[in-house]
Amino acid sequence: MTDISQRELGVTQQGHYAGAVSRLVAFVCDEAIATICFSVATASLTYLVVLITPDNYKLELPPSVLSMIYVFWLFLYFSYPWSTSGKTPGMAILGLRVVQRDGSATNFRCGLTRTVMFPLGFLTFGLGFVGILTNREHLAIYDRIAKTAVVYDWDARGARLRFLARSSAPSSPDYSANQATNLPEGSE
Amino acid sequence: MSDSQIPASEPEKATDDWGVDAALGAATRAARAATEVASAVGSSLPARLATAAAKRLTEPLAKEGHEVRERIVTDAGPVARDALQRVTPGVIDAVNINEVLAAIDIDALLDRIDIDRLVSRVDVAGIVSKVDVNELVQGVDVDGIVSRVDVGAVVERVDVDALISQVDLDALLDRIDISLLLERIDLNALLAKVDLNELLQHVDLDALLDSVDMNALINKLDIDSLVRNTEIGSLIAQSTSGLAGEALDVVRSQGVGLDNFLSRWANRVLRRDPIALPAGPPLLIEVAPLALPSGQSDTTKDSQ
Repeated sequence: MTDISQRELGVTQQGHYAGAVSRLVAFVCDEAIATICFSVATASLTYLVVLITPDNYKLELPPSVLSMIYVFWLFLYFSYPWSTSGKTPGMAILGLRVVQRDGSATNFRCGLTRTVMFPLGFLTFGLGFVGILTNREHLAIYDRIAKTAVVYDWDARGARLRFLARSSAPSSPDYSANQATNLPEGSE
Repeated sequence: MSDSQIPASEPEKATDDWGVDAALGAATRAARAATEVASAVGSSLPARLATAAAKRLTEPLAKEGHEVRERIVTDAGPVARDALQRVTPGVIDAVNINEVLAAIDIDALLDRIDIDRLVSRVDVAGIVSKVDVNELVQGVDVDGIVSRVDVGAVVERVDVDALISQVDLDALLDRIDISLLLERIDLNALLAKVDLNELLQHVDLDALLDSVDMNALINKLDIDSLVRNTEIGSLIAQSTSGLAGEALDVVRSQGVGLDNFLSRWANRVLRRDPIALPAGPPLLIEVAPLALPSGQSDTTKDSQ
């Protein structure tokens, strides 16, 4: 029962400002995806270099260069989705989307500004993220600067219907009971 | 002399009446002569003496004349009738009825008639009581009368507007028992006569739909009950079933639940009224109720 109430509560929040937990989980997902992708890419590149070089040259980049490439990769990873669809892969999993303050879709300037200003949350020792909890519109410091907001954007209505459908599917007792009740007299 | 004795040939009648006619003619002349003499002589004594003497002398004649006069009075009716019977055909032939009628002033004649008095003397009730109305009506050829009536001309002469303006529709409608009227209407038979296809062709569906508040309509739909109790739920489940999809729904729902949990605590700490807080960006919140009819109430309930 608690599970159902919690799911139905989620349905009602579509279009509302997203909270800290969802955004944090989305960021973790994004970091994981970006890091995995970067690691796979660098490993693949190293392997290709070993394969194609005659003396089995092992590509070893300095950590500073590797870090710069990683940061640039993160910049691309976040800026392009935020400038176009408004959602990174992690945000898509959690059903979040970046929009402008009035709710309209983001543009290139918003996405770029938000990406550039995003590190301020860490550079302020996490104080830049406190606004997500305390602000009326759940705005972090980079949201204020880029004039953006994060909202729930997943197909909550569809999820609710899917949940209801699954709960009354032919395999479920509820569905069987309903069908038995609706059967005409004399039918088997 | 009676009517039964009259029949005789014309020459014989003339012979029988000749004596009477002669006597009457003589008496008439004698009387006229005596009158002339009396007026001439005057009323002198000798004249009176002469008159008395004349009466004495003519007494037998007077008696005979008196008898004749009485006989004339007795026989005058049949004689006059006989005379009229003889004369009337000739008179009628001689009279031109058309000229007589043309000479009569009908208006003046009618003016002299007291119609009211005439009518008051008529026993209308007695006349009507003697009339067999049923027989009278049966003898009337109603179809023939109706076929001769120019209904179009009659209708054209009717001022329908003036007629309708005099009708008190409210009073008329008050007197109509709508329930009784509807009970007597066979709606099935009525609907069987209606060509719905032709009717629908005249319906402007665009205008009709424009007048329908679709948002209010959708808000009244119990989508949950629809999905639970119809095949739609099964179709949705079949088309969207999948472990990944279900897992996503669970993760997202759990995330939303935790978000709200943190928000509630933050609002308590900051002593903010959750209802007064903006739920989301204006553009999205204005659209959201269309898809999520129960959203605001759940939020309110949760915030309490």
